[in-house]
Amino acid sequence: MDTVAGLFLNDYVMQIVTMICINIIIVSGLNLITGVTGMLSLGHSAFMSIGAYASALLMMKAGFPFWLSIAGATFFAGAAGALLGLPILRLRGDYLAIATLGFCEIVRVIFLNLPAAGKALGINSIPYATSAPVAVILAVLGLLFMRNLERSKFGLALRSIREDEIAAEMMGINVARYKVLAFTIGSAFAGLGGALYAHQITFISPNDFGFMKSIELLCMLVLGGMGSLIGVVAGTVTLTAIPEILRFASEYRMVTYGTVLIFMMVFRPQGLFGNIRVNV
Amino acid sequence: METIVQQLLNGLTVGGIYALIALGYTMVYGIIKLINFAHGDIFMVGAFVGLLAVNLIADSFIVAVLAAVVFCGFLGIFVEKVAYRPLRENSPKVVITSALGLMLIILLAVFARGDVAGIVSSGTFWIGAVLILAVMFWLIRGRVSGRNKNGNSRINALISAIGMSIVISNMVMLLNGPQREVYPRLLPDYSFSAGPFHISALQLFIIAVSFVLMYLLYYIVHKTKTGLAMRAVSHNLNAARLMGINPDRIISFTFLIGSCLAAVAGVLVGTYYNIADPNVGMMYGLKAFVAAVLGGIGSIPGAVVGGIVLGVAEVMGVAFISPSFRDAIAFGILIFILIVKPTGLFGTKMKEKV
Repeated sequence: MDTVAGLFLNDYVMQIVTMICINIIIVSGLNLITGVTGMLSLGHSAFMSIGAYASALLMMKAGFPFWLSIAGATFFAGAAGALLGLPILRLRGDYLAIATLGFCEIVRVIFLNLPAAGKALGINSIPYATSAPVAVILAVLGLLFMRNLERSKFGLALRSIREDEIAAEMMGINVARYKVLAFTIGSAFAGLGGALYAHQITFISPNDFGFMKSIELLCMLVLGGMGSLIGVVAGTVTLTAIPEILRFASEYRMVTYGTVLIFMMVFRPQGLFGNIRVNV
Repeated sequence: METIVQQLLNGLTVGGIYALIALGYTMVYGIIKLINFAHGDIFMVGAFVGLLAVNLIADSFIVAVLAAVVFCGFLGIFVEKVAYRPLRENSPKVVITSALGLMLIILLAVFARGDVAGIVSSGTFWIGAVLILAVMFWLIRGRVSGRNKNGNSRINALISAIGMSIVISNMVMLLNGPQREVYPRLLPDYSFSAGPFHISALQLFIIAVSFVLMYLLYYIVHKTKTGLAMRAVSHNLNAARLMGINPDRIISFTFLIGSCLAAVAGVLVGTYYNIADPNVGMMYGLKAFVAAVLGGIGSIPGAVVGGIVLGVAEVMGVAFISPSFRDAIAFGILIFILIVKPTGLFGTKMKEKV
């Protein structure tokens, strides 16, 4: 019995579980933006980096306790999301995707040049605080929040925007306001996940949060199925655990990601668990 | 003043290259409304194929360009058939072609590290192969029977394009290794002084080649019958089909031309910087895309002007602001343009249909 427990409860497995929970929080934010509201975002990792840096700096420079600094990180990322959302929400589809991508690169370049953020070296020896139970509890709370949000009137409005923006506007939905709100909440989730990530890995650098990280997050969402929380969990577990199992073949990781994306789009556009099709 | 003129020349060189790549984006977007993310990686493949040809055949610019153009032309058509066409069409033939293409990619990736005999004799390989074939069979059946219909939505095509881009760039890294390669100096570089300015013949050559190719493209699109068909498909695909045009062939042709231009740009960049880097495809691609958006996506003169403006702005920014913000300049311009005038400098406003 001891050996079985030891097999599944060692540090390595706990670390993967923590990572999965963190990714679930981040990807459920992306799900709200892309899956539920239908705005393709390729800049989700930018908010993750804002959260990670904000939390690390709040804790190390301002001496905040863990809970306050991750709350602050969530707030900062949400605020950044609102600031970005306000000007770019009138863009649609591809253009929105490209603008968020551009934002992601700009944020990376800013952190690369910011002396307070350690420039290219990033921040080292961030206090470790994200234990597996903390991550699991926050992930469950996050999923519950998202589930209730989607089932509420607010979620209904977001889904109607996804299905047909003009029709939604005709029904009296303030499309701009709802889009910015969805973007803000989604970004705040990414910020929370980023903060947890910083306190788990204990070192961050700007290049951890590049464009490829956004793609990785999108890949998790697409594999599981856009607009479905079960899909978010399934996609995240699969794509976080598989690279660990296939660690010996790590050079194939990105090729696999790319092929999975094409596969899903060509053969099963709704993803593993999705039952909706996002129209952009 | 001298620095400004000098930097202007550097900017024109970089801008000419951006413009060559941007043309591929703008043509594809004009016809099927798709951002071909893999285009930047085709450009990078062009540089590597040129390098390979130089190492294998002869140390000559012409050989490098020819090899790169031929290979990338086929690669462009392959990309379209595997990743984009099945999102437009549902016929079993198209879907199965795509599946075969994807399998080819997987096999190439597996065998990329050499030791084919060792891999084939291992049990893991066969278990993996059986699993993949079973999944593919299930997916193809679901797709052909209509259970998993294509969404025909833009987001799907965009994600598929990103997938293709990742596959191509990482395939080059598997085959070549992630390191940069030294590019041979394929063209003699004379530099001469005109007054206070140093002018490099290579820079002039790159600018000249870019403009000749752009004119050639303009000629094809506006003076030939194929070009007429391209414009017709871009205007209305179904109406063009009724007029006896085969849109699939025209779309393939568009990918072919765009990829050939990118291949030439790849060899030019390799020769200019003396380096071939498997990681640059995405960044060059994105910047060329910014150029296309800046000029108004779908417009050929727009891509040229956008490329040059972007190249000059970037070089000036590096020279007068800070080199470390190089990548942020292009994306800053992009976001500014998207917010202020999303149709770009030469774009036409698209009406929204309800």
